[in-house]
Amino acid sequence: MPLFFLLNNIHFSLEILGALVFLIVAWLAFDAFIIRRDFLTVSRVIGFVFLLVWQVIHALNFPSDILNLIGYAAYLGGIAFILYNIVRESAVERPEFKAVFLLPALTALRQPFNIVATIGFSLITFISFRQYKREFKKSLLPFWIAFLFLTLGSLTSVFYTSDSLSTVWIIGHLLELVGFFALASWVWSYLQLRIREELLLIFISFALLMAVMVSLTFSTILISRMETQTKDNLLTDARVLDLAILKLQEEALAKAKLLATRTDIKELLKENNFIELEKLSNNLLQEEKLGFLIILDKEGYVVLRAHALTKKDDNLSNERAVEKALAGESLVTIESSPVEKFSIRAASPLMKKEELMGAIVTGFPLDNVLADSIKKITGLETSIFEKNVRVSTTAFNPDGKTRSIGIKQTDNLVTQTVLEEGKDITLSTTILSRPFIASYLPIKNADAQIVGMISAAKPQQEILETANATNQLTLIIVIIIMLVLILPIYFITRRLGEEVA
Amino acid sequence: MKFRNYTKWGLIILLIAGFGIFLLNIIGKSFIQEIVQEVAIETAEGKVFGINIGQEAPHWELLDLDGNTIILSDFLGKPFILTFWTTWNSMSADQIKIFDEYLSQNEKGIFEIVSINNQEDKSIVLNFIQRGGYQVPVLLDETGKVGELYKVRTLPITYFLDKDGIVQDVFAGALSQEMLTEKVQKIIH
Repeated sequence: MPLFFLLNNIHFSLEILGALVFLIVAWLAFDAFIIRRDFLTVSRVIGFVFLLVWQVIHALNFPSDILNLIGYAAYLGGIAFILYNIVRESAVERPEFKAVFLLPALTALRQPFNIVATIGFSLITFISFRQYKREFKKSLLPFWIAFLFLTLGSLTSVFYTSDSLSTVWIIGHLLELVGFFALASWVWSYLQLRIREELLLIFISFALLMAVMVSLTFSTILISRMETQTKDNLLTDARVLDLAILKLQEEALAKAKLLATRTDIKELLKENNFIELEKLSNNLLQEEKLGFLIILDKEGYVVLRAHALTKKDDNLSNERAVEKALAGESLVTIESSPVEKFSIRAASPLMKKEELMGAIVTGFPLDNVLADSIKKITGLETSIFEKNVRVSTTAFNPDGKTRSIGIKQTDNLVTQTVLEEGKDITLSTTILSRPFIASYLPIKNADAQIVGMISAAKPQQEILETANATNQLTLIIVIIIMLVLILPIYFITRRLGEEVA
Repeated sequence: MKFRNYTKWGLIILLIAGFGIFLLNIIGKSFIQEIVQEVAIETAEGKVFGINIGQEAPHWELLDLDGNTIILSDFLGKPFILTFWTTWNSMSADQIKIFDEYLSQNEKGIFEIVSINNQEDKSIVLNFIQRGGYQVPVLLDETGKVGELYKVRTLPITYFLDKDGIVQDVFAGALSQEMLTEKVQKIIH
C-alpha cells in the first residue's frame, strides 16, 4: 500500500467525519428553525448544509471540474451564511474587524478559493471568540476553538495542491481533525438532553462509520491487487525495452561491419573525394536506416558526419569503440559523444589490404526520438538516463511544450539498486508530483560497466480513480440504505420519546 | 473613535483590494493570454513573424518524403495547420511530437496538419521521422523559398488556415496539446 493511497484514504474518512459533524450542526439548527421560524436561524442551517455538501464533494475527489466548482461555491457560500448568522446573532455589540487575518492571504495568492475560505473561517473564529468573551457564553468555547483549528487547517491548504502530499498536508489534516472533534463536542453538549436526536445520530454515525470502513477496505484490497498486477506487467515491458536496446546494438554492429567492407567508401576516402563521399554516406544513412554515420581517418579525426555535415575535424580516438576500431577490431558500446550525445555506437576499421585507412562509426542516439518510438509501441512514458541524469524522455513538463530532461534521479533506492548493484527495480514513485509506477533497468556498455538506466512508467491515476469510484459507490449505496432505514427508526424514537415523557 | 474609523476604512480598502486580486487571479488570466497573443501577432504593422491574419496564404509546391509533388491547393476544402520546423531546433522537433500525439488522440479528417521542414537534407529528415515513427506529413523546403515566402524568422511557427486558404491565426513558438486543441476549435467553428 503506497503512502499516496493511504493518505488518499485518510483524507476520505476525515472529510466524511467533517460532513457528519456539519450534518449534526445543521440538524440542530433546523430543529431550532422549526420553533423560531426566522431567517436568522435558517441562515445557519443553509450555511452548515452548504459546508456538508462541500465536505462530501471534497471527500469523494470527483474528477469533474463542474462538481468541484459547485463544491467550492458551496464551501464559500456556507462560510458566508455562517458568518452572516454569527454577526447578526451577537446581540451585545457588533464586532469590529481588524486586519490581522489579511496578512497570510496576501502572501499566497495561488489558491484564491482557499484564501477566501481561510479569511471566512478566521472571521467566524474571531467573532465567536469576541462573543464568548463579551457574553461569557461558556458553551461557545469549543465552537470558536473548532473554527480556530478549521482556520489553521484551511490556511495550510493554501500551501499544498491536492496532488502533492507533504508534511504540510498531514499537518493540515490533523488540524482539521481537531477542529471537527471540537465542533462535535460543542454540538454534543446540546444533544445530551434529547434522546431522539441522540439515537438517530448514533445510528447515522455508525452507519457512516461502517460505510467508510467497508469502502476503504474494498478500495485497499482492490488497489493493492491492481498495483501488483501493474508492476508485473511493467517489469515485463521494461525487459522488452532492454531487449530492444540490445537488438539495436547488434544491428549497429552488423551494419558497421557491413559498411566497413564497402570498397566504394574506401576508394572515395583514398581519393579524398569528399563531395561524392558525402552523397554516398547520405544515401547509406537513408537506405540502412541508421541513426548516424561517421567516417574517421586513421588518426581518429572525423572526415565527415553524414547526419551533420558541418560538424567535422574533431578527434574521436579517445572513445572506447573508436579506440578498438583503430586497433583493428569492431566493437559496439553505449557511450557519450560530443555531437550524438549519449548513444549506441558501433565502430569498425576500414582496412585496405591489411593497412588501416580509418574507421566507420554508426549507431543510434538514445534521444527523445528513440524514446518516442518506444512509447509508440508500449504506450509507456519512457526515459533514458545517462548515469542518473535524464537525457531523453517522452514526458513533457507541466507547460506541455518542453520535455522534462536534465533532471537528476535523486531517489537513493533507485540509484543504489540500478546504478550500483546493476539490478532492475519497480516501484511506486511520484513524477512531477503525480503518482506513477516505474521500472528502472541498468544500461551497460561493452565493458559491462553501468553507464545509465532506462525507465518505463505508467501513471497511477487510473488506479486512484478506480479506488475513488469504489468509495463513491459504496458510500452512495450506504446513504440510500440509511435513508430507507431512517424513517422507521424515526417513528420508533418518537414513540419512545413520548412514552418517556 | 476617529482612529477606529480609520482602521475600519483601512480594513474595507484591504478587503476590496484582496477581493480584486482574487478576481483578477481567476478572470484576469484569460485577458492576459488574449493580450499577449494579440501583441505577438499585431506589432510592426501587423507583420512580425509572417503573414497578416485574413490574408491568403502564399502558394507553394513542394516534395514530400516519398518524392511526390504536393501543392497548397491540394489541402483546400478543409481547415489546415501549417508548421515550419527543423530537426536541429529541439523546440520545433518536439512540436512534431506534440502534433503526432494530437493526431493519434483525435478524430481524423476534420482538418489536416502539414509540416514543412526548413532547408535540411531529405536523408536527415527521413531518418528523424522514421526513427520516431511520427505520423505527421512532412514536406521538404530544401531551398528555403517557402520559408522566405511565409517570413519564417523563428522556429517553430504555426499557421492556421481555413478551408479557403485564408490565414486565421499565427503562432510563433511551441504549441502545447491544450493550446492546439483550443486553436483548432476556433478554426473549425
